[in-house]
Amino acid sequence: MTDGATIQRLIPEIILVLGASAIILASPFHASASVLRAAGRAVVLAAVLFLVGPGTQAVLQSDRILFADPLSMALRWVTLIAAAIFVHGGSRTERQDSLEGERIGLTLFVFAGCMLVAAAADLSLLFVALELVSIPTYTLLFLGRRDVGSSESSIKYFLLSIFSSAFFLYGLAWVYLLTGTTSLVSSGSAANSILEHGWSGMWPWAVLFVFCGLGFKLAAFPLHFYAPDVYQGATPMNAGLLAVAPKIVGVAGLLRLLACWGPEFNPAMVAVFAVVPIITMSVGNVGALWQSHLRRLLAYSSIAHAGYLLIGVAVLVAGVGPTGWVDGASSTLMYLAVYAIASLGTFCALAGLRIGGQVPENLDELAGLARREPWLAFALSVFMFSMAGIPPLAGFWGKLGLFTGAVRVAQAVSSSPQVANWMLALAVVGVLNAAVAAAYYLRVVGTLWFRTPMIDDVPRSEPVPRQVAVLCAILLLAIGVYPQALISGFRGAAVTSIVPAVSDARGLPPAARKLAEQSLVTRLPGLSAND
Amino acid sequence: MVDQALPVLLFLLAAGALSVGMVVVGTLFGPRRATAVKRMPYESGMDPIHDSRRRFDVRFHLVAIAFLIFDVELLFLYPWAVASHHPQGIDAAIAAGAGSGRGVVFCGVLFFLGLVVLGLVYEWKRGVLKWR
Amino acid sequence: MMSVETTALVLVLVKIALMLGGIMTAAAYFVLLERRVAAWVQDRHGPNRVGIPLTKIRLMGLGQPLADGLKMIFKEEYIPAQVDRPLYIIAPIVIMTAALAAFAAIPLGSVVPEITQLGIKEPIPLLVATQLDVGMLYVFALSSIAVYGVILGGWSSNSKYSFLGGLRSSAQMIAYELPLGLGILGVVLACHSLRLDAIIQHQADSGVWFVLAQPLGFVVFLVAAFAEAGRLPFDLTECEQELVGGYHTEYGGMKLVLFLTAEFIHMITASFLIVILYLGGWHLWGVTGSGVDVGWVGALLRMAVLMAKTFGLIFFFMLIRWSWPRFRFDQLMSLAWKVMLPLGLLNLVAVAICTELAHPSVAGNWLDSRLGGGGTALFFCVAGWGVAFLGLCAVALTQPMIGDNRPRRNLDLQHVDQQLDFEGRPSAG
Repeated sequence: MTDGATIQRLIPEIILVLGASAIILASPFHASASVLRAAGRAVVLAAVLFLVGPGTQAVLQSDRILFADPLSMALRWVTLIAAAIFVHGGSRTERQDSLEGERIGLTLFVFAGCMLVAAAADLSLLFVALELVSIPTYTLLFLGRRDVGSSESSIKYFLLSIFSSAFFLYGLAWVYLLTGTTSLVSSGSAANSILEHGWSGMWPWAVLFVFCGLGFKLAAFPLHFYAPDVYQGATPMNAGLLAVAPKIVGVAGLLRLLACWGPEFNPAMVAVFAVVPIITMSVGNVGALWQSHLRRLLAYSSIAHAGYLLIGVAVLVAGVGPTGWVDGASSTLMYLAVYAIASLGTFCALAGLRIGGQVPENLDELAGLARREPWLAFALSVFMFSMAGIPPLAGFWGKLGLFTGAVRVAQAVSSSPQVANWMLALAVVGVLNAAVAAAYYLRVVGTLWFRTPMIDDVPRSEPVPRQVAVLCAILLLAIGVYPQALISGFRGAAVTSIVPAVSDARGLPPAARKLAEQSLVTRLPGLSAND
Repeated sequence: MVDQALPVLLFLLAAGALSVGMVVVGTLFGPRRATAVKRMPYESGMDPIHDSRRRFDVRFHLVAIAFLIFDVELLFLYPWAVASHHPQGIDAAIAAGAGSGRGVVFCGVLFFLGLVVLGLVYEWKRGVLKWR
Repeated sequence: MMSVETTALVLVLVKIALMLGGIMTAAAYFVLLERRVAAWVQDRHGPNRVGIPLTKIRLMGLGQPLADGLKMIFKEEYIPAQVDRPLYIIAPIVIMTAALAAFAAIPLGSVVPEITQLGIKEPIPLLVATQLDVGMLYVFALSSIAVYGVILGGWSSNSKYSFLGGLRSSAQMIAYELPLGLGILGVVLACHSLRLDAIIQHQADSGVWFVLAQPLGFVVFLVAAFAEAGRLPFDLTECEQELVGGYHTEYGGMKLVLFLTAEFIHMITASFLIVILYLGGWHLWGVTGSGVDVGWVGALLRMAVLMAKTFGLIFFFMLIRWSWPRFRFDQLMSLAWKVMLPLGLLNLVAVAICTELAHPSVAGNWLDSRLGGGGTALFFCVAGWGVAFLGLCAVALTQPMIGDNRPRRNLDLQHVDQQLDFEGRPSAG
């Protein structure tokens, strides 16, 4: 039964959902758009306050529905910060009509769904939370614009997304069939006992289906085709939502499921998890090189970032011991947080721009932006440098964590040369890709600062998106200068959440687990990025 | 289970057989003398233009979606409606320690009904229910 | 001597045969009745000639259904050229099978005493699916399948009239399924069972028919049942004057008979459901009693009461048909969504609150000690009538069905723009 503590834990999500419902309901009663926007901000603020407040400190006793561990808290924080940026920075001139309330409310639903995915400890709740992300997204895409291109992209996303949801649900059904439980924790241990007893023919298929569903959310390699078309057809803010919310969901789901189902030291599985990021990164980066359409370029870049995120997941899968698990999970989280801020900042900045009353579509239209909007150009440059991974910025630390994690696992698993080679390959391909990516990110920066406008008209920006973009840029700079707080926070989350879950799933004795945790915790303060 | 389902199954089979039988009887005894004139869509009048399966008003879709949502929501209420006062229903479950009390269940259902009403209010105000 | 299982099986088969035969005969004769009622309402003679064949005995036209049936069997079996043949043939079969099969869970009385001479040692329930615990849901589900027959028929015919008729009637049927379900929910909540015989037994035991306790639910259910059966004033499925017959325009011969018979069977089902859910089923104060043990006389009396009530309702259906004009489609939809659905929800909430209050752990004991058992029942009945009155007053005051129905050509564009719900978005109509 649900107890009070569960509900108390969920207060931020409940606030978001109820607030969103109220805003949507108020919309047809001719509430003014500015009031609704203020209400949206107030709802997000209230959710933030309750996430720090005492309400969420309630201790769950043997709860089957929710995780209340640092991992879920970390992901909920990332989500709420993204929500704050999104709700505050969303351009007010994107489309002025009586549907503003629906747009704000549905956005809040999406972020509430992301937070629920991070906290879900039950397969059915996980699926419902995933749908809470997907279904409002479809509507948001349709609400965005009304031309042939946007209709095409909305329909494309809608059909492919329900297809992937069906895959996901089908996989969950198989998991339930095999393990007889919908609880994530007990399904993990049940699955491992199945594997030990050798009756494992269906298990990999179930896992494959589930990860297909999540891979679509991430836009990972075989399921990435939709991204460029959909981003191009969507409004900038919707594209920003697509670039961030599904990524949070995908990472949360992957980390949680892998932790609970216990990564097996299985070279074939490692190979799959290593090949996918390698191809995803390369496809994304190479594809982006040729793009002249802004959102298409960013779509390919987001595919590439999905590949980087999956490096961490591959490290988690290959990790022989707690060190590998923690390295993989924490570097993925770090990268996700940094990517979310940079990506949302970029899309906010683009959404605020107007050239001749229109949203700029092509990179050429941004030529010479620095003369008219120096602050915005500065912010955009910071985002591009960060996504490229240029040293003083936050993105550098994200990439560094991923690559060092892969290298460290490669050294640690010298017993299995195949796995070690895959890990090394991940690191090498990752570095090469970063170099390729720098080419197109620098092209954007060059266009902003050094090219002369092709026509007389230079884009202008709305004030609020500009402020939000500059704020995001400052945030990225701050993280870049002092990444230690964030890194150790995510490491702590991974240590206290991932390690016990994996140990439970793989049936490690408590004493060994305790030892592993302690060794990791004591190593934390001395952890420099180059360690 | 067999006791529950068998009479229903037999009834379904019998009803189906009766319906099929009526069609078959009609086919067996009815004459068939198709002529060119008889095959024309209208005996007197112009042939119809366009396929009949054309695009139709989007409101029909809206009604269908609204129906789907409300119908599923109402279906959730049937188990509660039966269990609410059944001797082996909610009271027995609470006596067995499954929950904190009748009031919680009742408030939950009222909250759920409230959501249904809010959905209806939203649709109404948005003009989904308006046919012009 | 047959074994117990065989006896039970034979009993089920006999019941099925009697039930199907009875329904088909009843449907045929209700067609005749309908024509005679129409004639009576319109002050003319109906079909009164056909009696016993080859004689001059007319019998008030009682031979007419037989003659009609024979005529339909020998009608030409004509399938139009451009139809989707499989669907075109399946549609009437689907609608007819579903309409008939709904009767598996409908009781035609209470029980008949055991017949020891035939080896039947227990009273026989007058119900085919005696063990089915979800009888009401089963009937509800099967009556919903009618939509499929209508849509398939309208779609496969490849005629614009059929298509429009099918589209309209599917929208109508699904829209009125919600109030129908809400009406059922109120009753199910009050007697905590989905079995129709248990629902009758509950009314017989308490002596309070649900029409007295939940008048609002009765109104909602009655209207929704009319619409589901596609009877006037809700016969937009056919509306001969506009759509030449709606979804079965392109049908003829026995397939048309299946459609038409299925419609009559829907009406019979609806009457049975109204009687069973709200009008006490076989119960009548002072006549039938409420005990489980009845002799042959009691059993026949109960059957007669149930049949009489149902017949009365069918007669009511027919009178309505010949005295009411048809709704316009927008009125039909407004009635479903803006009147019936809110009223149904209101009724459900009221019933939920009342039954919750009557629960011993809430306020039931207190009410009983203050008012006595009968007083409590009376109290809740009065509450039900109060809610019904308030609901109907609210409908009358808000007038949700009154809209701007002027022809569109008389509206200037400015005016139209103001009425659109979304700024700048063209209306989908």
